[in-house]
Amino acid sequence: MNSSTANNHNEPSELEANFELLRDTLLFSGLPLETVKLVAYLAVRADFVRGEAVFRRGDDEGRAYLVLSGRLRAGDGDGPAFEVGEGELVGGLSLLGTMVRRHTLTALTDVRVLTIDRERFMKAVSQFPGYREWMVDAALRLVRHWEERLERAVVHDCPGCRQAMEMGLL
Amino acid sequence: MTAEAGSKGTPIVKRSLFSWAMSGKLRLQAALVAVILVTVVARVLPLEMQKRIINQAIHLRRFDTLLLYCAIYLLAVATASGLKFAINYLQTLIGQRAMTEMRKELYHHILTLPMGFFRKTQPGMVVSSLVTELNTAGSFAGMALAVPLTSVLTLCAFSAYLIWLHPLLALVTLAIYPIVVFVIPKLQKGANRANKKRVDVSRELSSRIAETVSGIHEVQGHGAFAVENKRFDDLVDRLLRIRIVWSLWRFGVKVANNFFVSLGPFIVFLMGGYFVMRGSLELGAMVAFLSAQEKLYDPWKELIEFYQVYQDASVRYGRTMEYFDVEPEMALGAPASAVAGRARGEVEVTNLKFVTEDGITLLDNISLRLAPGEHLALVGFSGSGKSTLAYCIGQLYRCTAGQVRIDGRDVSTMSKAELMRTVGIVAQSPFIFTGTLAENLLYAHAAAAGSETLDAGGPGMPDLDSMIEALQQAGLFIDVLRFGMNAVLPAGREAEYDTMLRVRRSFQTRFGRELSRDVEFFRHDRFLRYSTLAENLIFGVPLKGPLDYRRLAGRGEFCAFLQGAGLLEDFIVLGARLVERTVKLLEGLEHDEVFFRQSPIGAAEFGRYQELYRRLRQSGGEAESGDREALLAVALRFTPGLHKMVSLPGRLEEALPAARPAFRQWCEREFPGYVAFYDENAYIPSQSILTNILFGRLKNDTDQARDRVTQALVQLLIEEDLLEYIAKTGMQFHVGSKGDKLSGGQRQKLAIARVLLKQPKVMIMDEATSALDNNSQTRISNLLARRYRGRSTVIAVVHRLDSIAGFDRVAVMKAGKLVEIGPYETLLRQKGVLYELVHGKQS
Repeated sequence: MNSSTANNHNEPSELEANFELLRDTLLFSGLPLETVKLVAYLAVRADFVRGEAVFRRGDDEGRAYLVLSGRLRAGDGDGPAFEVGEGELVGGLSLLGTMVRRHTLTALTDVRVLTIDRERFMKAVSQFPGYREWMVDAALRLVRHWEERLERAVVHDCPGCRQAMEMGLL
Repeated sequence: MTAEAGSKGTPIVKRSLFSWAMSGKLRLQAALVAVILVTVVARVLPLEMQKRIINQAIHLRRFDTLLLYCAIYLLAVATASGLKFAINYLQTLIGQRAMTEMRKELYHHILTLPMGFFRKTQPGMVVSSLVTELNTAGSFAGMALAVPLTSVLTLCAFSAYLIWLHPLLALVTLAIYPIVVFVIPKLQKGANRANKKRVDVSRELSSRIAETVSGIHEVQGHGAFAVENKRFDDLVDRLLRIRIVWSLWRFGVKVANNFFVSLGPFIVFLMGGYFVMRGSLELGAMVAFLSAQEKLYDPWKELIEFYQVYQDASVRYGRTMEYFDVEPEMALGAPASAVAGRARGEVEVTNLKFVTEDGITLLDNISLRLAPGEHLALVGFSGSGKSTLAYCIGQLYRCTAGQVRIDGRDVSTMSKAELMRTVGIVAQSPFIFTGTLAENLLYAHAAAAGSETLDAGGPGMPDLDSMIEALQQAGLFIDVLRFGMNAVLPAGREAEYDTMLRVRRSFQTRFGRELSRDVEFFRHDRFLRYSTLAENLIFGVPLKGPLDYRRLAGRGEFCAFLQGAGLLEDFIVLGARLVERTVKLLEGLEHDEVFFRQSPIGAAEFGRYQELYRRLRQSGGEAESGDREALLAVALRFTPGLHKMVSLPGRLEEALPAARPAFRQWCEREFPGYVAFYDENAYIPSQSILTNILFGRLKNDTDQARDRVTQALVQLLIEEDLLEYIAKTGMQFHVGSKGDKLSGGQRQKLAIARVLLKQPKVMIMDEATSALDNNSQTRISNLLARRYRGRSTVIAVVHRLDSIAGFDRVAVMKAGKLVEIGPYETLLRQKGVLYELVHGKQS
């Protein structure tokens, strides 16, 4: 018997599926693939029903969520809100350190996510020798991404915002 | 405040090494002296018998005298041996008792040392001091009286006997010893110098090891192996050189001693022979003289060894005590002090100043006053001195100048026990000790009540209701219930089993449908993704005996059954695949429990499976019979919902539920009574209360899923009046080493609960809720505002400003100074520093 040629295992395992989803996300670029695989191994799938809150404003539950199916809404009731859908990663910064939620994230439909908490994530990442440098890079990458999105979304219509934003990031 | 020397007189670190040998052991020592005196006589007697045997019995050919003298000789030798045993026993008893006392007292002393001491001291250093360095001091304490006394007395007795035999010859041979007494100490001094260095370097080495081990993540993280190895190797090499020098000196002492002592017989032969030839000495006397002379050597050697042990012990003892010779900052006092009963909780801080040893001013002239029951929030930027102020008030730090008064009394004049009955402290990263949750909960209360044990319900200890209340207030109660439900009921609790079955039925009727997305119920016709493959086949759990999990894969009959059902090869193939994937994934990682929680191969057996994987690769996948057993064992443990490295082969998903009836038949035929088959109407004794009530397993281990299930269960437990029972069971949960089985939030809640249980008049909270989620933080803020305002004075260091509105007053710190203090609204209206902190700096 040869395990690697056994033919009744053609279906990819959940780990492989998770790995394929995570390896292309912005947050994990720059990590060795073995480390991403370890993250994929430690991540778990979770389901939320329509109307259920994944986290609430003010929480620091220390998790990131990759949406596998369904749609969610981030907002705190009255203020501006935005929607998140399949393939998007929410809360990446929470994996790097304490991050108090600025929004409540609610499931608009039944939702399935892949999620990992900070403790497990750090355990996985710290196996990779250059992880400290990587963490700074990752944080900067997320900030830059956020800055670009913000610029596209609001700054063109709002001259004051541009100034405030530049002040904030300087 | 000057530390009191303590009621026992000299503080432990100032006690002399000899005092341990004597105090409290006078009776033992007296017994020892008596035994020694008899021993000395028993040692000299054979010499005289020797002389008489030769001179009187052999020389005069008197057989009866020969027998008599030989009998006396034998008796004396036997007595001496027996007494030697008694001496050793007494010596050990004294030594071990002394060491135990030293250890206990030093440990008790170390725990009271100021916080500053521990910032500079490595735990390894304390460990080696207590564990190894005191050993020699202990054995010395055992010898302190016995050895010098025995040796000196024996020496004197032998010398006197020699002089009695032949004064001139005796004086000449004994003249060697003064020379030795002059030479040995010189050599010993060299040995002592080396020994002192050795103790210092060994200590440095222990600290180094402790530091590297606790910072191993940094070492591995930076791949700093070369740096660490170099540091360590250098130290070890230094130690090697010192030890060699030390040994050389010690051997020098021994060799010098041996040489001088061996000169003795030479003199006896030369001079004694001459005297015998001249007739002024009998031959028998010369034989006795030679024997006695030789026997002088033993006590003398013992004396020299004693001298060396003494030197070594005093160096080690001195160095150890010197290191810990720091005065505790406050008297401990009798725990059962009556003062606290009258505490009101008024806090007054006057001109408080705190300067670090490096001269940095952390607190500068702080004054404030809190009425009893008033709540104060301390806010400010990090590094502004908030926590330092809180710790100075709680006396964990000693202020450099100024005063803290509680109820008008200067806290520095209060004993620790008195203070701790009034003040409760929740630290930012609280320490949870190894033990049960209940023990940790009772920790502060027990200390304040002066109890030495952590038993609930003991005298002066809180009852179950108060404990539950404290857990509820801190928001830990639900967690405790969960721990309780995860416990396995002891065997034979039939009444409780019945109750649980009742709960199971209510759960099914009322929540079965609603919670089916969170729970996978045991259904006889379905494949169970959250149970192992073994459980899937068995549809039950093996009991202790021939079919238990550890033996199942190795049981030939079982393999034959699998073979017959056409499943064996599927299992082996799956096992091989699991091993391959798991080994590849986890190879080379540190052995952290986190990585093994979702692995079918445990941390302890990982190495074995690595080897197996290598063998499989070499043989092209052909497994030998032992390996096949190991592969089958992994496959039987495979739980598809948890172990995600391999997907479940579709064939097994269908075949296992289908094989259940056949397995049951086989089992009832071959091994009746060794399996508990799942049955809706039967309790499964080896499984947790939770599994029994659910009659299934939780699917997703997410907070939300657990909350939904717990909520439903709590409702049922209340109806069945089981809540207290489960809570009590949950409190017996073992929190792991340093509480590592608890989450950060749970640890913090436990720390809050243990202080709340104590109901102190003054509560100091240093960012006590920083690891809690928003809801829990709000709940604790509300609790403090509603239940404790007016009852306990609260000083809380607060990082998040959205929770400070509930405090009576807010104190704003900046760079060690108190810049604003007043009610929240007032300060906001003033638009000062607090306003800036809350709203951000306005440009």
